[in-house]
Amino acid sequence: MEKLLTKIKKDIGLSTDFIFKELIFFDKKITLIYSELICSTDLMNDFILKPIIQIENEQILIPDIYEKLYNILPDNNVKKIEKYQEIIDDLYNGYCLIIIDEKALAIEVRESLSRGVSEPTNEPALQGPKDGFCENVNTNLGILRKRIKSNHLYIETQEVGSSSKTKVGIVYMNNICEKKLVDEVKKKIKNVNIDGIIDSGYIKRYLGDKNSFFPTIMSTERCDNAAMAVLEGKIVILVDNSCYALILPTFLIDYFHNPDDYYQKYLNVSFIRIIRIFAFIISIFLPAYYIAVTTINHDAIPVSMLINFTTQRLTVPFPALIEALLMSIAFEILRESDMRMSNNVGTAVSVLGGLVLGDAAVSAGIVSPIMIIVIAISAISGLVFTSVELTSAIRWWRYIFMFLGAFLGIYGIFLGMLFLIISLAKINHYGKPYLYPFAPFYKKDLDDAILFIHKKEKRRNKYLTKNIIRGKQ
Amino acid sequence: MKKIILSVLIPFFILTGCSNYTELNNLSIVNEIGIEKRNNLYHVTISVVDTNNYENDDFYNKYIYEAEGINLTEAFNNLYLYLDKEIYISHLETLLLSNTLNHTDLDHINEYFNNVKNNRNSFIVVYTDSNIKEILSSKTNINSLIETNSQNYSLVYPLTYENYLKILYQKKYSFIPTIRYTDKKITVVGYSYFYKNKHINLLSQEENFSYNIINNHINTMNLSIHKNDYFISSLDTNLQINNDTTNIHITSYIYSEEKNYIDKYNIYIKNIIDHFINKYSYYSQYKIHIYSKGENYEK
Repeated sequence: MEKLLTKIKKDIGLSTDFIFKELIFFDKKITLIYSELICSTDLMNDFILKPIIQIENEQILIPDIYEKLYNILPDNNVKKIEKYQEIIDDLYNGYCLIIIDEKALAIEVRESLSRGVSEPTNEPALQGPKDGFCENVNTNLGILRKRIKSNHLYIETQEVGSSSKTKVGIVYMNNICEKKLVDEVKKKIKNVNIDGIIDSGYIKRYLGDKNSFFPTIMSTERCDNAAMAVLEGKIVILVDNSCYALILPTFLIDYFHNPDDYYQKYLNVSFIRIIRIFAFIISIFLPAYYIAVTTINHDAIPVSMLINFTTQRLTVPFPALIEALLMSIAFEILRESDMRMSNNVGTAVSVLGGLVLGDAAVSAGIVSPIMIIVIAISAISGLVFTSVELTSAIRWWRYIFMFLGAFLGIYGIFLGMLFLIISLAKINHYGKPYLYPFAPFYKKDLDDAILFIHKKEKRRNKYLTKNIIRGKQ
Repeated sequence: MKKIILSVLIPFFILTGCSNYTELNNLSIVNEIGIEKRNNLYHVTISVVDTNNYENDDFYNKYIYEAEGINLTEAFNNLYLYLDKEIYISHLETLLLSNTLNHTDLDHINEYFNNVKNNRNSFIVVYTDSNIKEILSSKTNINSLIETNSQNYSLVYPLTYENYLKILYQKKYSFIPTIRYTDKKITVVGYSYFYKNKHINLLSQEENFSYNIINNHINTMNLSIHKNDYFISSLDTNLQINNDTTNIHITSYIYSEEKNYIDKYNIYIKNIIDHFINKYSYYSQYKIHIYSKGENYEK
């Protein structure tokens, strides 16, 4: 046993959080090894020390202490260690090891270091359930299991990261999700070659489409969103220490949907979705259109508006493109600083940026009032979407269109639109067309695309699964 | 190699658009142009919107600039002796033609506007026998004047330059709304008849009315027939083309105090339209059928 203990001490190195506790149990020395940082002392007391003391108090002779302890310890996760590497892995995973004569038992006594189930911070729910994912992958997997009580819900786990050994859960419905897709995702996760996975975003980079600005994997904090995705035939990936679940594959239209849509009336939801489409269009095209009509295509707007714009731009020394870029960058800096600031100071900075800088910039003649309105409207329209990646993609394209509008006018904007549509249509992540159900056009799946139309028979996306009919068949 | 080609081609395609780049502040927005002939020289008067003192949509201050030249191109170029910004005529509202112009001059004007940059042909053409500078200097907006007259009085109807050219090339005549400047006011006096770009005469009240009826340009108007008032609330003209003849169906909704006024109205309309068609050989192949509906109102 001394040999084993020496080897363990050598592998642990200089870390001082590992405790080696020696006990005499029926005249035999047993050693408890655990990390005081990740193991719960309460659980250790209740499920290890108390039972050991109780057994000793009974004064019954036990031929095999190892087997006795394995059968008697009241913990649901007690396992016999077969290989030495398991000792090291389990020590770092919140297990307490009991070493008896060169044999080892591992008992899970992990301290819960996550914050528990709370309301999602970045995806507020207006009408739906308010539980969000937390940093404990087991809790998150349990939340999904609680929602989908089906024997077809498969939860598979893998360990990723040579140093972090992060647990990654892959959740899917076996009777709905395509096996080919599941196999491909599992293979990609297995091939992730990295030392540590800190957040689900690390995995996203390996699984997502690298050639597009637009997101192909959705991150969500909401449990209902993930459950809905699983029932549609998508795969949900949960990563330990991350409160964001990954949903794949996704289509562009998915980013215009919100889980709250399914808790409201159809007509109301249709209207809101149309608003979201408008917000998307305005966010990308408005600054470019404004630059085009004030520099090249002056005849595209009525004369009264033209005169109005001219009057406002009289004192501005910069061309429209430079003015737009300045304001856009100022807005991004303001947004970034607002996100990083604490709540105490954040509000004051927002007010300072919005009122003082905006008003002062106009008074100083650096920018025109209309430009502030245009940039503000387009930026706010982009914030309608909860997906950070979609907002970033919109921002990129906004800048591209601004340059096209400045140099080629409305013709340039139309060219850019063509390129945008081509680049979106080109995305074929995991063999699924990104613009479905518009390209390829499939009328039956349009009832939940933009307008939300009530149909008696609910259907799934035919590109995700062959099991199209939802409900009893 | 592909990247090199792309990095050469993309700036080439994008930067070529810079030739059209003009800042708003570098434009003189011209909303009215007047052209006349003085001493064998083209005299061009333009009214430019004053963007420094813009008040509202219905009224904006303007600057008047004049220049002369042997031809229109020279006259417009000479405006740059006074203008500090580029002439921008995409939002031109009115082209005012003087009675000092002969048919050749009008041909030259048509040629000039067909070739000039940024021209959209959506402005209206107006004819006048008064001083152009006085008209353009007045506070009245000619385009609004013609539009309002058309909607509430139906004496004239706005003639866009595009339609003017179309009619001219197809039928060689044109009826151009005419205004006059008297007692510091601009008055709409009706249509002037041009044949092959030559001014023939000013139409009478009844002739104006006939022309508007045939071309379905009547909205509402008050009509006096032998000292009796008729209020036309709407008039719809329908042309039915049948082989070589065309029937004109006129449906009017009219109010009058007079009894049995519908027959009188029908006879009156038929007579004036017959007279108009015969005098101007206008739609002379047409047979006319007039249908009128109306109601009496009490005093």
